[in-house]
Amino acid sequence: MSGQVEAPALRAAAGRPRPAVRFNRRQLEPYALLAPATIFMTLFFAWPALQTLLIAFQSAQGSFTLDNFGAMARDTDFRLAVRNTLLLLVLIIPIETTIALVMAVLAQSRLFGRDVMLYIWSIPLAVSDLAAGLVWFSIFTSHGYLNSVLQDLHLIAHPVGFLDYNNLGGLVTAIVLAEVWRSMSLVMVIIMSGIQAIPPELDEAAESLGAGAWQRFWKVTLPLLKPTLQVALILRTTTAFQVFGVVLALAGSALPVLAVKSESWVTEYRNYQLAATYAILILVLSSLSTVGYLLLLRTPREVFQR
Amino acid sequence: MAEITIESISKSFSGVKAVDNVSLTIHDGEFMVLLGPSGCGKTTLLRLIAGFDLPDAGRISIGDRDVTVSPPGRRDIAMVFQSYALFPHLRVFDNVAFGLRMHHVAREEVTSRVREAAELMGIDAFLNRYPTQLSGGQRQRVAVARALVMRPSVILMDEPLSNLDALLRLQMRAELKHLLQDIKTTTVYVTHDQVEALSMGDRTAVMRDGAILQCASPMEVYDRPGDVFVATFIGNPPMNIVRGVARDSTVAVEGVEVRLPEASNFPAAAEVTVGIRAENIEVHSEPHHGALPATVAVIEPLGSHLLLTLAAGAETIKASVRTDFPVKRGDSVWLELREGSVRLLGAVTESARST
Amino acid sequence: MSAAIRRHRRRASPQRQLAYAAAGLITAFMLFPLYLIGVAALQPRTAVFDYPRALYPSPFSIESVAFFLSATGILPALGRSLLIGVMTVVLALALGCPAGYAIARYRFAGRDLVQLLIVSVRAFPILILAIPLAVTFINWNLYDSVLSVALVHTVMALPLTILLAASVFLRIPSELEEAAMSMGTSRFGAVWRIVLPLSRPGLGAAALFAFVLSWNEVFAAAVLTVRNPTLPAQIVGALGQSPLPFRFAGGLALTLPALVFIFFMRPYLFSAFGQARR
Repeated sequence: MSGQVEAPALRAAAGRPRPAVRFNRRQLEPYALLAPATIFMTLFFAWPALQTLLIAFQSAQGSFTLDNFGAMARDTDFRLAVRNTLLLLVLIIPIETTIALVMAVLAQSRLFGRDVMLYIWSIPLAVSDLAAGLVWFSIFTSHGYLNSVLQDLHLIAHPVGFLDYNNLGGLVTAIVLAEVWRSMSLVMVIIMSGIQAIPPELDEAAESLGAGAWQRFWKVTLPLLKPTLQVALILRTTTAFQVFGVVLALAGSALPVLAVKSESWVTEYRNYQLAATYAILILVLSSLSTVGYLLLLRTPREVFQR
Repeated sequence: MAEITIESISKSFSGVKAVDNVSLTIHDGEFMVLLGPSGCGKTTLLRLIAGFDLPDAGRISIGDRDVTVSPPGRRDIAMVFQSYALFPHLRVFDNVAFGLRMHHVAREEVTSRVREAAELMGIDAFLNRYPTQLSGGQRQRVAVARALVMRPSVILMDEPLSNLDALLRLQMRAELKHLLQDIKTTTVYVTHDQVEALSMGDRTAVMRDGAILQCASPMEVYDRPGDVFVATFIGNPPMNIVRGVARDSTVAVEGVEVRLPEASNFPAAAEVTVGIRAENIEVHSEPHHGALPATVAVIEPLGSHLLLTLAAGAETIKASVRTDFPVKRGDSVWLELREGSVRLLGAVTESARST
Repeated sequence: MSAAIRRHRRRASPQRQLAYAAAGLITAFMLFPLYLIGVAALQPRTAVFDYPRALYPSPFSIESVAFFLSATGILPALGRSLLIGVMTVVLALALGCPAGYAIARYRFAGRDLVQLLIVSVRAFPILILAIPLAVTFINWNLYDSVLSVALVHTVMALPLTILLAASVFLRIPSELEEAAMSMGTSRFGAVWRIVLPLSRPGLGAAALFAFVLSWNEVFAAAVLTVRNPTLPAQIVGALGQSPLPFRFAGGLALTLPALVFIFFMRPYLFSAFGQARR
């Protein structure tokens, strides 16, 4: 963070000796300011997170057990839920990151109508996953827009059941499109802020040294974007493990995923142990992916020191 | 090595003329300094030569090639940026090698040329470091090495010393001048620091409002400024500007006549603007023939000399005297304007514009 | 403009044409679904079952929307969503502003740790909280209440609110505060009289972000409510047995506010999501 300014009183205190008590009061100020938020987050974030862990390892009677994990593994759709969640993630993340990179680069170049374009590209930032699911539902449902257009073009004779129970390809395509549509704005904005932090002279220096546009992107921009991409990927992958509303709107229970399983164990069966176990699984998978990105996209510490 | 020819170049940014119909020839091997206050168009002119911006009109050639619309990488130029623009993700070696690799130079030649440039700039010990691990002066050297290694026809420098502290700047100034004299590459150097301009350039082009006011050798620009702006922009303190009345080969300032170095072509008794440098005024503590009576208003000891601010009639004049000159505030003194050093800077009406 | 320069500008255009084509394609991909949900929602209920579907509303009608709004529970759910949104904003700002101020103005031991925690909370699966909180809220008699959902939404919104508030305060020179303090106000007085008025637009944006987050959140709202759901939770609950016009109108109702939200959030998008980089 640049432009950091030390508290004036703190600076003055460092200069000349002061009674120890008053000096301490000054030092305590930031902690006092942070206290409400910290207490709140401890109560409603840290504590419940810990609780989830405990619940997942508890039997219905409250004793320690690993049975919940066995029960989860035996759950009817468990394997499907894991497979589907991973399948969606593996498709969504690379597609949206690539398009978002293109969008960020386009948004940086001085195109006519850039402001309107950026506004439109940002709209999905404020669209929920449920809403995105419903929007794309109007396209993919059997009497929806996609079938209408295909039939008008005489490409199909009867409506195709894209969202049918057994049409895995159709379901996955629809969910991936809706998720990419909804979340690539977020990735674009993160990448754009990363690009804006790269001094324009670096690009000019490379240009004057004979690098073409493509080379400049690969040799200068992309390597410098690595930390930004890392953050975007971590943020998006952890949220993609929790994919929920889009799936409910487009597939209902036809395509089981982890978050939906967890929710249905609470709302339908009041089985908090199993729901918590699913949540813990999601946490473990997200943590693993985060560690993976941290290792994979490591940057030498010297590069971004200031 | 090449000559740069700039013909009637203009460039506006959203309606504001940054460079206005500028023509300039920079000779082969010459060290040309573009000098002016911020916003005068010097950096724009440099960026037009580099090709980062395209002119609205005019022509630029380097050597005998018209490069007006060529991309920067095809102009055979190398640029040193004010912020150095070192690639933070590349080690010093790879920074210096970047341009050679872009031009598909063979691997062994890259290594040998990078080492050669690094030795020349005294950075061979740091080739394995990242730019953030270097001091400001070392980064500056890497930036210069990265430009030199390309063996360009033209080196462009955009205020390369302005991010260094005063002492380092002094040292690098001499070093850069020495280096560029040795390699004899045509150089265009942008600065707002008149001392840099005077000390480094073969010629200095003083710019203002997108136009070149005067382009000449540093001593010429200092000694015979073309107009009031150049006279006051260059030199510390700036040249004294006073009103006078021209009469044949003399000019009268506050009623005291001084001989001019050359006959003026102003009509007799024309009101003119007169310029004289502080060091060309002799201060006498006794009345002196042909000297201007004045009162001491401010005395500033500057180490090597005293700078006096004097009130002479309606004029305020600065003069420098030796530190042992006996003077105190309010003293009456007499100012002798050294013959041959008084400059006529035009009619009064024109000077009203700039002062 | 000289002929050579004009020629050059024209020659450079294929690359730009490609850029325009790509930009146009992406824009179409962004806009078309929004247009289609509008068409689907703004036509008579019966037209929904026409096939093949018309690509424009024929005729234009708000019948579906009216049907959606009059469906059982929708209006109360809308009211709850708004109320929870406002509660989230108030809570997040009340807790986030002091914390943001501490990060912006003080150097203290553990400052980096605080910033790291804030960023990592954002990458933490929030879904993990909902289940024990459901249990806790049952014990506290808060389950199925507006407050319970607002509390969880505040947890989700707080990290971003703190980061935004910090960046807003950072942009206000501390000299202004020092000047006020040198004229005799306390630090609190300086913040109240100088800093807060100056940071109103930025904090307004932070409030909007918190509201949008709450307005859009589905999972916690679905888990923590039974008879008193928010609008998204109500729609999720009704998805299984609802007719098409209900779903389309619901999709439009949830999407339309985004157009307005983003319009006002635009200047702050980078400071909000760019924050993640650090």
